This record gives sequence, structure tokens and C-alpha cells, in this order.
Amino acid sequence: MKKRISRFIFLLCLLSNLLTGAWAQGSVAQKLVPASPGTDGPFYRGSSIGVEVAGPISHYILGSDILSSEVQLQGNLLGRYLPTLEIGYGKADKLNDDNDLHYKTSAPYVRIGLDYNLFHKKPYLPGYLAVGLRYGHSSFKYDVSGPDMQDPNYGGQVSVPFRYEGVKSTASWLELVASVKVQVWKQLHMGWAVRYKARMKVEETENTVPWYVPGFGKNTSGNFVLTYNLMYNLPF
Amino acid sequence: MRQLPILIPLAALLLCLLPACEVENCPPNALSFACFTLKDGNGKNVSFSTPLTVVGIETAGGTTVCDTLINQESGASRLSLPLSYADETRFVLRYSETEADTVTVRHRNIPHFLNIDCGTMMFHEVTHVSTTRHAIDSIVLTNPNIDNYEKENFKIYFPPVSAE
Repeated sequence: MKKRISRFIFLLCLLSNLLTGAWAQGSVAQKLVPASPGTDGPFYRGSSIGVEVAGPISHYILGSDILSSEVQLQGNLLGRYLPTLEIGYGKADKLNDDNDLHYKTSAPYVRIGLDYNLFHKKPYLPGYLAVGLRYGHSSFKYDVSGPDMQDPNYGGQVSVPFRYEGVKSTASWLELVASVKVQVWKQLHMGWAVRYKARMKVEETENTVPWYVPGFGKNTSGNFVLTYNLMYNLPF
Repeated sequence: MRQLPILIPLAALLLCLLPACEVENCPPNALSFACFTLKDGNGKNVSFSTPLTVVGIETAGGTTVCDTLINQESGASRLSLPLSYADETRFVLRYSETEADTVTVRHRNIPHFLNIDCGTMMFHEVTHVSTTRHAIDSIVLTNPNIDNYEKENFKIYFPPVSAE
């Protein structure tokens, strides 16, 4: 019995030694990681180019009436500031089966802004979390049509056609962005971004209000959008 | 980066919740009414003590259509009446078997699209208004824009003897 107890205590000691050794090695390894360069080093630290893939997947695979696809160019200044240019194309072709109203538009849009890398002090990590701001603008034309409008009173004697084509509009908005970027393989990265889009101005006419704005989405005072980007770090 | 395993599922969860947050804000009233308030000579609100009937008349394409909009209503101090889709609408205000006034409103019709889920609406812009003066003293256009947000568009003035 005493032998069994002593063997058990020995095994426990051995196990605890191994564990503490491994922990100590891990701690040393963590301490051996190079310290953050912070703002030391070059001002310009590279660029990346990316494409947004959630929009095309939603349109071409899931059959959405709306397509929004964009290319993102992002610079890296001091590892902290990430000036960003996003150029995209938004399209909507929606027929409401309940009331036979049809809305159609397609136009390019542009966003410009800056992200701030919250993990700039940890450049050894394979990715980062960033927050940022964008200014978006789109100049577009849209068509809207529906059944003739029948007077609900006076016997419905008069009906008025409802068809407006090539209506011009411009829109501008602001976006608050929170994004995550992680390395997938070598220079290839992927990233999620949650965006809150706040409408600044959408031009209306006497007869129509744009229902969908390329780059902004449905014409409400604010939209939450999730985007998914594949990015490649450029070699310059 | 150690937070990533938490952040990515959170982002995915947010994506799943987003469609649930999407609400189409359609206006509660898709119809537009011309709003008349009834006033005495001093500008105070008045109401009819006797039953009032209002008939709307539309003339378009050589055809005249009459529509009874208010039938024998007592105590009205404010009238909300629909304009027709023609260029002119007449309202016959019948106070009794023998006494009536006709208010003629000329207007421009403005089809309006707000949202693909909310349908279309017809707004109007009043270009001219006139009235007969049997019981009515005068009519004043206060707001020419008639849309789905109800507000005063006309003031109808009565001499003190016609209303109480």
C-alpha cells in the first residue's frame, strides 16, 4: 500500500513539474517575442487590395434582387493609420409581387475614409481589429413603375399612369466601420467588417424617392451592413 | 487576436439578426385629404348645429361623377375631403334642403412613390379655390400642399348667423 502511495505521489510531482516547465517555457516564449515597434520604422508600410465577396454571393448564389460589389484599396501608415478607398457597383432590380411596383437602378459608388488599427502595438499578430470612418457618394439614375393609379373615390373614373424612367439622383452618407483582418496564407488575408451607414443626403423628386441607393443600400436613415473581404497585401 | 474566436461568431450572429431589424416604415395613412376648418368672422372655430352633407363632384372627359363624402353629420368643425384625380373638384356643402354652397378647388395632381413596399400615393397642389356665398362668407387657402400628413389647407369663414 505504501509503495502504491509513494508511486502516486511521485507521478503527481512529475506531472506538476512537466506542467510548470511547459508553462514557464510558454511564458519565456511570450516574453521573447520582439517588442512592438510602435511608431518606429518607416512611415509607409505597404498597401493591400481587396474584394468584397458577400454581396456577389448573396446575389448570384442566394438569388437576392440586390447586388453590391466593391474593390478596396488600403494603405498602411505607421502600422496605425489605414487610409482606405472603396470603389464599387450597386444594382437593384426588384419587383414587388404584392403591388406590382418595379424599381431598377445600377450605378457605381465610391467611399473614402480612414481606419485606425487598434492592435498597432502588436504587429507580430497575424491580423488586427480596426475602427474607421468613411464618406460615401453615389450619382445614379433609377426607374420606377407600377400599375396605373385608380382614383379610390368618385367612381374610379380617372386613372393616372405611374412610370418614371431615368430619374437622376445623388446620395452621400457616412459609415462607421469596425473590422477584423486576419492572415489566411502568406500575403492573403480575409476580413469582416460591420458598418453602420448614416444617410446624409439623398436627392428626391416631386414624384419619387429612391428606394435603393448604390453603395448605401435601402434608403432609410441608417443601415447596418456586414461585409466580408478577401485581401492581398501588395508587394510595394 | 485571441479575441478573434469570440469576435467572428459574434459578427456571424449579427449577420443573422440583421434581417430581423429591417422594418419598412410605411406611413399609416396612404390617402391624402384636403382639410377645411370652419371659422367665424373673428377667426374662432365654429361647428354646424344642423346636419351637414358634402357631395364631391368630378367632371372628366365630359362625364360628371358625384360622390357623397359626408352624409348628415352634425357638429362638424373640420372637414377632411378627398380631391379627385381630375384637375378640378367641386364640393357641395348642403346645410338644408334649400341652402347649399359650392366650393371649387382647382389642383395639380402629383403621383408619389415613397417605397416599393408601401405602394403609391396621390398628392395634390391647390392652384385656385373659389366658393359661392350663400352661407359662406369667404374661403382662404392656407396651405396648397395636400399630402398624407393631414393639416389645415383651407379656412372657411361664416358670418355669425350661419354657424354656432
